[in-house]
Amino acid sequence: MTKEKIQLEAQRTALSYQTRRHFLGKCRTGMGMMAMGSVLDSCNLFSGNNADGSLVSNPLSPRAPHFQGKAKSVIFLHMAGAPSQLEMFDYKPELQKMDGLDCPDSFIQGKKFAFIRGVPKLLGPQASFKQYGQSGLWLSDNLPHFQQVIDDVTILKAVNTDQFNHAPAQLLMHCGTPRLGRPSMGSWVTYGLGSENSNLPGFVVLTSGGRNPDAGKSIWGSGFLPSVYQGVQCRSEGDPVLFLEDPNGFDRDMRKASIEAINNVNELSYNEYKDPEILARISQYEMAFKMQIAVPDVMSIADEPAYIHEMYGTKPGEESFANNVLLARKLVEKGVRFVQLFDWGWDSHGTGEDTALDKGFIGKCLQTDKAVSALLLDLKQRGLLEETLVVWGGEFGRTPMQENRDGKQNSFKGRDHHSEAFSMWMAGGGIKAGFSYGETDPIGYNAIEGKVSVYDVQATILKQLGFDHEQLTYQFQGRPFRLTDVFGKPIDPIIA
Amino acid sequence: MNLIELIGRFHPVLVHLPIGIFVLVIVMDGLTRFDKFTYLSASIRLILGIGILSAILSLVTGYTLSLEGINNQDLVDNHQWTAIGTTALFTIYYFLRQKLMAKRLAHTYTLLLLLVMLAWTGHQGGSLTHGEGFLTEGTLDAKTITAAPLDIKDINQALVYKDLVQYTLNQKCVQCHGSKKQKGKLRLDDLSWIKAGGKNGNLINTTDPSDGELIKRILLDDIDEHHMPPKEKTQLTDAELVIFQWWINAGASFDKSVAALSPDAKVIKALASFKAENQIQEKTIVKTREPIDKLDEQIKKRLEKMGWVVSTISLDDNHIRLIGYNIEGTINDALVAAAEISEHVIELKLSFSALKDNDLKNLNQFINLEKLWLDHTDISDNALKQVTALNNLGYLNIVNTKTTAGGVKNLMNLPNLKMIYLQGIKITTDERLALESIKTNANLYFGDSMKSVITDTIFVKKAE
Repeated sequence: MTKEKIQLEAQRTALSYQTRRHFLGKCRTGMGMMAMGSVLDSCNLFSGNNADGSLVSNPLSPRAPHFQGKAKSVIFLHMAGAPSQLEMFDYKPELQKMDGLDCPDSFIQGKKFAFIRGVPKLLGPQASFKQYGQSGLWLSDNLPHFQQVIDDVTILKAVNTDQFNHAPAQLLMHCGTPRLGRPSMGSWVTYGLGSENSNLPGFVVLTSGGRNPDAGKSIWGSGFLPSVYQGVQCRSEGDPVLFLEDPNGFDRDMRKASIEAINNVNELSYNEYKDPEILARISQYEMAFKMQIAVPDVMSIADEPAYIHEMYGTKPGEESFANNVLLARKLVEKGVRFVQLFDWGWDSHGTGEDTALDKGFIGKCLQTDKAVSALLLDLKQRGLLEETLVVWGGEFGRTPMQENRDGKQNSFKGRDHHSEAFSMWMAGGGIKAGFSYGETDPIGYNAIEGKVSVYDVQATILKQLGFDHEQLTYQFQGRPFRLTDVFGKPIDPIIA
Repeated sequence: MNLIELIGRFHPVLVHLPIGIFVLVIVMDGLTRFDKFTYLSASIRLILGIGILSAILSLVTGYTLSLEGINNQDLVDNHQWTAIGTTALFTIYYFLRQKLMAKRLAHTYTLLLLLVMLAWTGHQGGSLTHGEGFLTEGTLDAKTITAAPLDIKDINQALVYKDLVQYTLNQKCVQCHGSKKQKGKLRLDDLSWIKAGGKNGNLINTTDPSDGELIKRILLDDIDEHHMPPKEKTQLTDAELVIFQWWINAGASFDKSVAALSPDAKVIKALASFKAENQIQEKTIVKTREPIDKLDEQIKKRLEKMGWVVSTISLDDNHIRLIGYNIEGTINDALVAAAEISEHVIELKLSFSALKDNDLKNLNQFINLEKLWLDHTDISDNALKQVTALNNLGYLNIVNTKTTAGGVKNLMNLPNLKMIYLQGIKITTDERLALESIKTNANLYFGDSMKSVITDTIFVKKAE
């Protein structure tokens, strides 16, 4: 397109704003929109916890929380597919004795399972357990390294969810609702606290295990929050962020000039339309420019000393959970607010060797155990665990019964999805060290003490970051929304 | 609500008519003694008559209101009879006034008696609506209900109802269900009230313990509107819930001791934590920061322009966490600029920056620093000399710097230092032992590696 043509078009567009047709059209819809605007008020950014109104300049500049939070950042290790608590943390010797017996009617009456039909058989723990550390917490031999850090964690043994399928349960865990459309926890946290390092995204997502979690990218989406708060997925293999490199023959100064020009135009349109998404776009362009330098630096683990690689079990250049864990430490060290890891492959139904509790599942445990343990130790020794809250868990747990898909016993030892009670753990960021909270019944089916919901876990995470989960809200469609919907309360007994 | 009830509800409004009118009558009647006001005498009969009519109206509405039933029946009865008495007295006065006027002294006493009766009736009514003791609250009796710490030596000898249940009720329930307020027409400050129950019936169901109103309310999910205590009030602890359930399931007796109700393991655990929660605990002295004014927006903007990230601690605390990952220009310039708000800064993060020893010359101005990160920089022991002036410092991170054991040793005298992170610093085993032998509050983290377990065998062994 030639220069004259562009100029002509610009002139025409400008003139069209001064026509009678435009004026009358605006009169008709404009009045209605003004009325609507006052009703909806949905562009009122940060009405929930504004305080200063400094957002127009930079949506990621840090903001004051409700109270001084002990944690400044979060590493959430999500084992997508839901690992079996009965082979890791929740030791049930009674279940071993009842191995192979029919599951009592009282447990299955009126219950719905993803795959179990009819009367399943109980399945004893497929691992041996021992007590470790000063705290004497029980751990299975599937986690040989974790015993060295057991005195730094709080295990929640009776987490309860109301979803028994992966995608909705993952959505509930991260967005506070089993349905699509709400912002994820990392988005809420970066919305609430901003970022400490303007050269890096505030919310980074790393995935491993060969597949993304079932709920898709919406579990790190920003929902109705401005999209600047959505999780930035980085790859541990190849370019960490795609399309970040300058093209050939395009140097950094020219890139800078072009971004500045685009941002100037965007600022003009912001002044005209006041759409917060334009601000988000401006800061994303700026961040992308800074990230070109900062991200390749922080996302490279090649420079780490040999003993770190040995400790985490990392190999530079491959896509692995261990590499992601090490990256998580590096990101938190550089001031990233929320690092979300997903590791796929924990759905141990026992339909094949890779999902068998005595085969593939052990492999998954051993793949992750060393890196996770190394992470806690490394964070602690670098003085990062004080301010970093590490959360580990799946989206639900697994049944004490062996899965009998469609009424027939599965060929390998596996367990079905279980929502009544499962285990998670938290460490650092002001959480008690070497502590266990909650208890399940002798076969590990129901929570009998210290039952907490997914909302309670979310409320606790927010509390450690300095938020009253009921006050961190965002005005949307005429009402304030929050991560925990109308539920949840912080699990105070586990807070140090 | 039916019509009778509606009429009853007018009582609190109507009573103010006779009170006002009768006071007016007494004042006017008193004034007629003076020559200047004798003309008032003519009006008094009429006004008194209107007053008596309104009083009768109040009596009728008051009686219908009392039919609704209220937990404090004694007070209602008293109020009813004094009100009737007062109205009767005013009526008698209406007829005898002419005669009394002749005897000045008798007239004066009559007026005083009427005033006292009126005030007493009004006070009783007020106690019913606002709660007993409303009038003198905070003036005469300064006793509050929540004070006393638990005083039980041997938990087994403690009386379950009196020492545990009633104790908890006093702490968490009687503010709304006690002598001052009776929400839901319920009082929980004494066993006779507890037995009587409230608007929604009996508190304790002896035939089916789990169906009692008390236990149902406290066990409801706290987002349920019927849950007690209300969501925004102090909740019962887990231990208290266990004790209440145990007491009610065991028959809710009012005189048994803990041992007599044979507690099981769960209850014993709850009793222990109940005792711990409620006993006088040595107060841990929490060091609070001096409040400080909000940071000036202009200064904040200026610092942000230099690349500082300026983070306010919380909405209630205007102190600053200052982060320097992205400083443009030299660290020295940035720190000189930041010194302007040195009293605000309690956390300073210079990790991964181009920090040099000389840049820290004015570090001693940051007297309120509690946390300091100098990790992953080129600083040496010279920089640590500046740190020794920071008396409030509790956390120091010098991971991966060129500092040595000698520099670290000088920091050991800092009174509040709790944690020093030293990973990646060249320290020999002897130096480490020497550092660890120094008597100090500070924990030193040298950075020990993890013991690696060879996992291949586990997998192979299990797979077999």
